[in-house]
Amino acid sequence: MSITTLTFAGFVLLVLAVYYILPHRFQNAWLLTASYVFYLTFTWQFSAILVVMTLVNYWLARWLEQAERRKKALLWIGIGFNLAVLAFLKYAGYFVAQFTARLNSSGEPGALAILLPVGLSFTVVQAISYLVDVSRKQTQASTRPVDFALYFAYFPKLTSGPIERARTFLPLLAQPRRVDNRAIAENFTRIVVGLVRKMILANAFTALAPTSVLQDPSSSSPLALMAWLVAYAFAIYNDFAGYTSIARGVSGLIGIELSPNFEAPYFSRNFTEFWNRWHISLSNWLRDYIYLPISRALLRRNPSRGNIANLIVPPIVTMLVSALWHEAALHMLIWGLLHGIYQVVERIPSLRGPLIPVQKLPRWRQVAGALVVFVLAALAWLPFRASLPEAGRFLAALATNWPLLPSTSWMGLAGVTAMLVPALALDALQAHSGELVFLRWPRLVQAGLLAGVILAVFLVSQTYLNVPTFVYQGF
Amino acid sequence: MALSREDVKLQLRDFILKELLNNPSYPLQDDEALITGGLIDSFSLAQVGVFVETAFNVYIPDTDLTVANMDTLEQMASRVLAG
Amino acid sequence: MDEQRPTLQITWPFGLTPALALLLLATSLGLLEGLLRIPALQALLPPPSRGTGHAQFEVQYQNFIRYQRAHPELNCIIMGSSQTWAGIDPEKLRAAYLEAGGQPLDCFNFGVQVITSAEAATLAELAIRETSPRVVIYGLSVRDLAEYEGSLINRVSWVFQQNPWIRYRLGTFTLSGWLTEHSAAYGYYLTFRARLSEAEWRTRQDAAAATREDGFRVVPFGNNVGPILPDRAILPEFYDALGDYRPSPERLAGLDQILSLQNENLRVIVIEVPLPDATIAVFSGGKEAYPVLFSQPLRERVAASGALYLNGMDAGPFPDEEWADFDHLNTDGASHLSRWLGERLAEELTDAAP
Repeated sequence: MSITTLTFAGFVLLVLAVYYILPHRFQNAWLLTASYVFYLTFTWQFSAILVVMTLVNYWLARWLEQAERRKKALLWIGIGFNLAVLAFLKYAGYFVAQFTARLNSSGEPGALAILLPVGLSFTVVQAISYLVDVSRKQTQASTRPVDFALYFAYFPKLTSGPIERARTFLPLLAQPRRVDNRAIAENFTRIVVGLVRKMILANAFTALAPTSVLQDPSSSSPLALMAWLVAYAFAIYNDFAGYTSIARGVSGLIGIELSPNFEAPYFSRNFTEFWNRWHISLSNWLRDYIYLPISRALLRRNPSRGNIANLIVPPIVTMLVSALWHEAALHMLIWGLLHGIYQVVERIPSLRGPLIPVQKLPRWRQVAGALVVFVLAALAWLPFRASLPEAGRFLAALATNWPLLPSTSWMGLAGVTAMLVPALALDALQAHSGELVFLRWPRLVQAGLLAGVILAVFLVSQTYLNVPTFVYQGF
Repeated sequence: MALSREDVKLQLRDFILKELLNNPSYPLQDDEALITGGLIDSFSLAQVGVFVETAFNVYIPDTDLTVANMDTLEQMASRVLAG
Repeated sequence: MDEQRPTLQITWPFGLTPALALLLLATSLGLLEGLLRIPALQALLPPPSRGTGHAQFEVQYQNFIRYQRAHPELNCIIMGSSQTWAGIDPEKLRAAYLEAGGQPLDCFNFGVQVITSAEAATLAELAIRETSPRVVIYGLSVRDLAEYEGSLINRVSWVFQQNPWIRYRLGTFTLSGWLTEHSAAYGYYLTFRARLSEAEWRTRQDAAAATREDGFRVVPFGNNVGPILPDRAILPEFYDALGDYRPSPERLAGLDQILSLQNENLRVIVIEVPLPDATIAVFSGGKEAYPVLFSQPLRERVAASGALYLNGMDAGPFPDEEWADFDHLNTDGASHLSRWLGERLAEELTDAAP
């Protein structure tokens, strides 16, 4: 059940209708049931794996908490178990193919599909941080099986996050929730903004970054290839950010606030900022459980900031782990390596002179920084999206086809340019005035916008319209 | 030996100015936002963490080395004194 | 204490913005719809679309609607693929039919590129729901019945099965089909969508320019080079369809569906459109096998249904100058075939209407 379908909307309404009537002590059990129903619409195999993961981690954590000895060994067994699940899923291409096929009935996996081996990789990282936190006594092992199972299975965040920590999420489940007019307005707005991002912007950008270009980049001009990269960068961003916004909105209607995951990442003026604004919940997880432990271990051996290992190893390893989490493939490692290198290079100047805060830089340098970050991030999306030979051919075509090919079509370029206007405007607005800025506008303006969105979403949802154009041959 | 808040701040300030900012003469205020203000990046918190370990023998867990907990000198000192 | 309080705590007023949005939406769409129904404005716009993505079908459908409004005497539909579209000229057919003593036979050529018998059956149903012809002439050749695949035919087949408007017209309710049929604004929106694709728009304009108001394609295909076989790499499905001929069950079923339209008020005539010798030579078993494996079974099948079978090859040899390419007649070839067809129909239909 994809979250942009009417089926999902109906499902949510049904879940909410029952949920609002139930007293708090039954609400979590109801949400758990609903979450498994939701998950079963994808595949029963994954639901079974999720049950096993829930049971194993629940008992391991309790054991870990009470253990006097061999705590470390137990923790590593737990981490190993969760990693084994992840590795199994990453290599079990069959499951992934099956899932993405169901995620998107048109058979064309959306930009988001690439991020998923199916939600369970999100569960794996949540499980690992839970065990680590319990072993460090930063959180108590849950003694409420229903709440714990819901922490893993909670349907708004099940398939693509945000990644929540047990120590902040479990208390939310324990408390009674309250959903008032304001909460409904805010979360309805999140859902609407999410639909705009995912169904209108991401759809349009995905259409403007067709796979065919990757298969034969040499027949496109460099300008068209650049437009393709821009379109892909905005497609993947709006697809994921749109998903998160919808997930947060739905969860907000339940009365549970999920973490934000994106804050206008393409306005970042350096890569440190980029990773604080892109897939934030994953970045924070990687920082807490990969980057900081490695960094501290190295600093304990040699506290000098300028030490080469201290400079290079933590960012590179962190980004490689991130890459492996996304997909166990060489091209994905290249994506991670690139981002690791970007961060290392970016930190070199701070070794020598005093750091000037990015917001205190002259305006032009901030803009230039944002442009450089965007270009480098877009180039890194290439190996994220394409196989290495494809990416190689793409770059070769980008470098050799200058100037424009005579057959250059302006339609794609015009399309990307036209779509960038609303995409950037939405980001600028939310970055400058807050995610829910729309609620401060006059009611008539809000209603007008909402009317436009309803119409646009309806028109876009008529997916049969995206029949590719026929170009005829005689027969 | 009990550490005084002023001691902790003094040592932290010295460390931040010399090691993180490379600018010993910077007039750092106690409540000045270090990370959200862009003076140091959030990754420098690893260095703060290790420094606190060695200087004060206090282990701050990785998950506490966050912008929310450690954005100002004042916050850092509180976290160190909390042990 | 908290346990007792309901989770949902809403107070009136509530939901005003969405309500206002729906009101605005209804009002503005109503106004737009009214505006787009004004004939003077419609005259300025390209015609509304059916959302098929099949540019030439869109053009033909518009031609068909326009033609039948302007010619209430329309009593005959010619159907088939591009071979029929470019191969049977209603004007020449009508003239020959009249000369040979028949009553007026006013045909619209509803040829649609790429379709096979399976899609032609759908097309026939669409056309018959729109008008009540007394004659349906279905022109087909081996490609319409053969089992083969190709990206183009697969897509066209998908469109004829899945397009919401086609499904709606054939009796299955679909929201967008209903909107396409009844809302001017939606139809123009579909045109706007088509306009966004340069390739589709160009194809539409080319198809419109090549088509006469009675649906006949007046511009010869290709560069009118004559019967030169296509490169196997460029058009593998041509060699699949002919070189390894097997009738497709689905396409035969389509043919049967067309044949079943035959009743006392509607004559169905199946004409095998001619192919040049070079093309028939590709057929499995060659020129000798062709009548045995294709024409004869077709003749029998048509005869068994009570419909009339005619073989265009009987019109006599079509010299190279009458071929636009390896499977399409040019306008001279079409005149040749259409005149012969008119005469034959005058003979065959004398006892019956029209």
